[in-house]
Amino acid sequence: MGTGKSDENSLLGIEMVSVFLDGELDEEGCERLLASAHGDAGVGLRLSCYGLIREVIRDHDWRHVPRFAPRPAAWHQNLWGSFGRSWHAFASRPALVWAGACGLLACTLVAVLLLGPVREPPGVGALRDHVFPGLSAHAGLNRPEGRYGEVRSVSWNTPSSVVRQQLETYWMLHAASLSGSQMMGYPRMAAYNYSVAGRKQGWRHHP
Amino acid sequence: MAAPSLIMRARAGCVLITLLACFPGTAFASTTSGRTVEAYLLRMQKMLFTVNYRGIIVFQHNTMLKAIAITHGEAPFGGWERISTLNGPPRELVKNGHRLELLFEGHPVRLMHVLAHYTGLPENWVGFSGHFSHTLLREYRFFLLPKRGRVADHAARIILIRPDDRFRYGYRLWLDARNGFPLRSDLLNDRGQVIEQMMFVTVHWYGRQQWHARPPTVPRVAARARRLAVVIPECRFVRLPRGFRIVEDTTALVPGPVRHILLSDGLASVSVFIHPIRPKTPTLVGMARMGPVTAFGKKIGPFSLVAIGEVPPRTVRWIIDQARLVTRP
Repeated sequence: MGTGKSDENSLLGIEMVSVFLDGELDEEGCERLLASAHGDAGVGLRLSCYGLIREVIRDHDWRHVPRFAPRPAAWHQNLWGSFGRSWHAFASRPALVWAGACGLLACTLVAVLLLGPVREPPGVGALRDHVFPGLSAHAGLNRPEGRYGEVRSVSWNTPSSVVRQQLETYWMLHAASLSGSQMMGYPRMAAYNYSVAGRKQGWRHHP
Repeated sequence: MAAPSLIMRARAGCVLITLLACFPGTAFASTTSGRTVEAYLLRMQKMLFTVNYRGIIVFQHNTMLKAIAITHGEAPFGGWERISTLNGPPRELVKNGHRLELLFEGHPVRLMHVLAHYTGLPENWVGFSGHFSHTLLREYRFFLLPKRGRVADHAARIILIRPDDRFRYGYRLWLDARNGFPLRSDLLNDRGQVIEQMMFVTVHWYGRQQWHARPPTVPRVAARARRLAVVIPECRFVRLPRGFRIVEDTTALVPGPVRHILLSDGLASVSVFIHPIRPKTPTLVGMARMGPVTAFGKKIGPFSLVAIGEVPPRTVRWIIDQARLVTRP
């Protein structure tokens, strides 16, 4: 097959494809036209046309042609398809994968720290108090509400001695005013009253 | 014999469910025994005020464990008590009527002397014996649990007191099945978790003839006839947590004048202290706590307000945030 023939065949093929895509010539018509070619030229023409058809179909925005328009996919196919494409795009980038994993881990940690169970293993509070004496064992170091309520705090400090004494005084006035009506109020007073002994225990302060 | 027993249990269960649906707060009380929750609590209150007893209490909070010996003698003005710690730093708290003193290794703590100036017991304190059935039932639910317990070798009935909101703590009480004496008390947070426990390990009650213990001597502190130079304004609260009301409004000397307002819903209590801010003297600003006892302080003009009580932190903060000082000409 000579060059001139080839060009001629290509031109013919392009014309056929355009006709084919415009809907003027259907598949059967295309086949008949190709079959009417004779000899080597016919074979070359056929091969050329098929190749061109494939290329044009590949490169051309053929979706506007009614017969090639994609069928509307079911919603789950769309979902899965988009997920699959996204996942493929995501998984093909290791940096993205690592960043995602780290983000997930961080979110999990934050969620556990903020919303995790309040109860802590026995001994943890004492250990923390021992290692970090400025931090309360139950001061909401890693909880949004502490143990008792809504105080969102990071640390509870031991108040100054003056404030501590003030609190002791007020606490005792409070307990004394309740007297016997407060169930076992005085044993609690005796048990908790640390600061009057000069020890840096008892009251914890979050300004 | 098994079949009738099962039928009886099924019937009892149906009755319980019906009563629980009709009277959610007191259903258990009227079905599981002949005595209601109110009757148990009133008996407990009576026992605390009318019986001489001696015992050892174990006190637990978080990692703190204390053993405390307590001797209580009945007398006018609230009786007398001698409480001493059995582990840790030795300290003793003695109370006789209105007077209260804390001894630390034999030395009285100075700040306790201020209590001698205090007016004493509030007369209109409601407690368990006052408006119990009318006020407390609105804010708490009371359950006499069918399960029975044993504390200090005494059979006990268990009462669960659950608050209806998150402004107060709940209680679980073990009361002596025969006389209603409180043998154990668990303090519960809003999630129902135990945050503090007290329990008698041993307890003995004494009649008047058998009781030979003598009340402690609490020294009288010379009253200081000191006029209050500073007028502390009245305090009004825009909106208090449901059920709380003012039960006492007095002025104490500690040694300066301090206005003391006692708020209570009948079970939980909060004191609000108002004192003038002194220069170079720090005062509480923010939240503080000691075990389940919380305090919140704030400055309003030349005065400092401190709320303190055995309630969740949000309660003391709410009360202080709703406080308004009213200065009258």
